Amino acid sequence: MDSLSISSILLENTGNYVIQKEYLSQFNPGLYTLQIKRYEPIFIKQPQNKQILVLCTTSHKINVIIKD
Amino acid sequence: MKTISFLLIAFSLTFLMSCEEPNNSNNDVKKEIMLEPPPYLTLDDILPNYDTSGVIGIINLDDVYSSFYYNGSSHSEHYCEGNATFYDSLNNYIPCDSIEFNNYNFVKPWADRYFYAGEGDHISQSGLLINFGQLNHLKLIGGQYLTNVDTTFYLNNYISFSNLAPGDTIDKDNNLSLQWNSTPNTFVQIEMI
Repeated sequence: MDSLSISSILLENTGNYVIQKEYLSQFNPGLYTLQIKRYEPIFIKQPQNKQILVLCTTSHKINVIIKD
Repeated sequence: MKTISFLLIAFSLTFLMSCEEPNNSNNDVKKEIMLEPPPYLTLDDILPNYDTSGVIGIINLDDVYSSFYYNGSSHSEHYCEGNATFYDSLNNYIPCDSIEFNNYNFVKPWADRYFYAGEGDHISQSGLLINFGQLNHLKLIGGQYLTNVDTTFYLNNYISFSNLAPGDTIDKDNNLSLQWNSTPNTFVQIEMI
């Protein structure tokens, strides 16, 4: 099946982003999965200037329908 | 040395230029759209924003909430997992005695990795590895080579789209504005497949 995906884009979490119609227009009509993933790093200090990194990622996936 | 470098660069450029564009008429081909505006970032771009010096271990906590809408009814799934590994300055694996996150014990299915996987309920927050918008408790018994950890830290609220619902229709002739809950000092990745 011919599929089209938006390459993963990573950006600072400003809470909004606009996908331009020039990009959307390249999609065939149909059902797609839209996902947003957040990266949240926590650094835990250890003795002797060492650290443990806790990297929390959380995602929300929904299905959307692109129409002509 | 300069000659060798030049030849390598020339070869790389020649190879890249020889690569053909994907044939979109081929049904097996997946075409990708590069979004604008920049910047395009990767995790390697993110981490230098923080002081990563002396990191001797990474604990990955991953939580995915899927909410879909089909044929007049909604369906949701929640999956979470965590894995952890520790190493010294030479990248040699460091074992620990146990690792516990919010009272969930990680098991050790691989020689150098601790792991947890489970399904949770998004509404009641039961069964979730991560306490969203609350304090989280990490307890690590380091054993012979690693210092013990017993600490709590705050993790932000669950991320979700705020202006789109499962099953919504998108008109591709108009710009699509995406909105979600913003949290400082974090990064987000957007993908549509």
